[in-house]
Amino acid sequence: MTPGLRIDSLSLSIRGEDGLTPILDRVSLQVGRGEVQGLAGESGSGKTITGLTVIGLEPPRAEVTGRIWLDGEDLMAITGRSLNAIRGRRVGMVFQDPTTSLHPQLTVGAQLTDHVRYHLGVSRAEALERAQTALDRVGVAGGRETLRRYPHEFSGGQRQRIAIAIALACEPAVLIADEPTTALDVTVQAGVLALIRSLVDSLGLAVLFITHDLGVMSAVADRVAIMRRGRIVENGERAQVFTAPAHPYTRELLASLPGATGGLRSRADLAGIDPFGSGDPTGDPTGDRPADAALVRDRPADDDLAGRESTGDGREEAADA
Amino acid sequence: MPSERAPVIRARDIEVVYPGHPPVRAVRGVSFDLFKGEVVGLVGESGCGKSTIAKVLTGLVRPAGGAVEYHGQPIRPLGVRRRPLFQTGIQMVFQDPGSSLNPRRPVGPQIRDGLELALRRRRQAGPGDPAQPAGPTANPGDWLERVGLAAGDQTRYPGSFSGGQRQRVATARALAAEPDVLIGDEPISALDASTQAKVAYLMSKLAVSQGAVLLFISHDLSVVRLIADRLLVMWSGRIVESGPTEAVWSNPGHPYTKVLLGAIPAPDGAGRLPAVPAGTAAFDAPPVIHDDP
Repeated sequence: MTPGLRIDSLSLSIRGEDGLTPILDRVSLQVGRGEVQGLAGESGSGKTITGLTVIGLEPPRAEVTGRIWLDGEDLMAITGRSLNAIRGRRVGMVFQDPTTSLHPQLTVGAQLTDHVRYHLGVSRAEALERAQTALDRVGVAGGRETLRRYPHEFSGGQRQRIAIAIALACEPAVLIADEPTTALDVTVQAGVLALIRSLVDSLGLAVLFITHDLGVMSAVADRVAIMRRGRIVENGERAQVFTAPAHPYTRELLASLPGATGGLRSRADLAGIDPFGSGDPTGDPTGDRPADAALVRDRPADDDLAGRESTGDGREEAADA
Repeated sequence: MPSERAPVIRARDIEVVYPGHPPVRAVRGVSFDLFKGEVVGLVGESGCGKSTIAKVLTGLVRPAGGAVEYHGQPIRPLGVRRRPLFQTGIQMVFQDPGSSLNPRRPVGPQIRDGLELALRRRRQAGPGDPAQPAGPTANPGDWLERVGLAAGDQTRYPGSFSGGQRQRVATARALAAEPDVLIGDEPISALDASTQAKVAYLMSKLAVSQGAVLLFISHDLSVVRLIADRLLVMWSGRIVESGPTEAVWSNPGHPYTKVLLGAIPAPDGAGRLPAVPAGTAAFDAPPVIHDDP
């Protein structure tokens, strides 16, 4: 068995009035213990839905194929209520905005102990003990008193730390973190990134880290997968992806970013981009999608999404978003 | 150099207090000048007061103290009526074009609103009036082309554009009013990363070519740095550092600016975690002002 999370050729389509809309196309990823696998992409690329599908939260009317393995166990074979034994227990999840992912009317203590008691069947006293440990682990001070407070009494960064504590309270093997620092200020983000990295190293956690922010990705991920239109176009070691990107889309994405290798390093580099081109979130500066052409050329076998590609007029991402 | 000319905007000791228990002092004595044709980046993190500054400049918030002048005239806070015509020379692009554009009107007529403002201002303003729009008369189609869209897109509704394209429409709408002050309040924060630098560059290029000053408000220093001539760094309602962009970027003087710059993760693949700030006690240090070159 492979420890950690393995996603094998995951495809997902949504059934609508005019047939199936492909959303994910043969996504394969592997996240080992003690490793952060980054999943980066722009809005509508399918990165969030990949994370949700792992814990069985794909949208209704979705048709899913492929395999998802958790510590060698086939998650796709598990359905319905049995998934509850996985979600929150063996796979933890942290979302972008702790003001909406935390319940505003329940104390932090209630939110930290509820699922622990459900999953682990421990007593209230032991659950509180574990809650305390979980809070200490994420660096939220205040002891027992903290457990009696409500989410609004904490700052944004502390709230996200609490959300991480909740996700880790049952000591899951895998953590799916979907844009966990996007809603935070950069100075606060720095602390949360350091926390996630230290938890990975100390607990041997396998983290699927989803973000659109390649700066964040560069700071925290060991491996980086670049996703575009439901497909992983490149996946490799962090340093390789950032300094020697193999796929034209990755290169164009990096070229559009301040501070990236081959990106916008100074004001003079702005002269190299055409601000008037309509090329929107595709990383293609001319607007006529050479990245797409390259994608198809590079991967002749990938033509079966031709219907989707041909409708591509720069607005598909908007429709997905 | 700009300092020899009269500023378009002159703000002195602005204080803004939001009511509450206790009241929030959102802006605590902020002063700055904005000059024709420059791009000024106003940066800082959430709650530092940067958006409140934008609201003061557009008359949406009445300052509790201090004075804000636009071409030497005090900015009148917005009441129940529309803004005085003169002040429509100050235009704004908001963070989320999905909510700042009217979803039920095609974009053409929305841009035309801006054009009509410019026409009315031109008719009303006497010759030699500093706020009088000077540009040639355009139509919505011209404006769409100027922001990289097609003239034929006029009949489309905002919902049919992507986020980046919608922000281009919002920029066209604001610039069609021929402002000489364009304020962008986090105009690129809701956009995909690859689009951000492009839209920021577009805004600055168009604003400057129109002779306007662009006040670009953002929490994202890495993009602002590329387009701004000057930076104003805000923390906790005060400007803690100001000066030419490269001076602030390469030689930050205030403890907060240093922390802010150190916390930006670079997409360089080095695997460096950004520095975690030790605390905020040092941020009360006096402001650092870099001289104009």
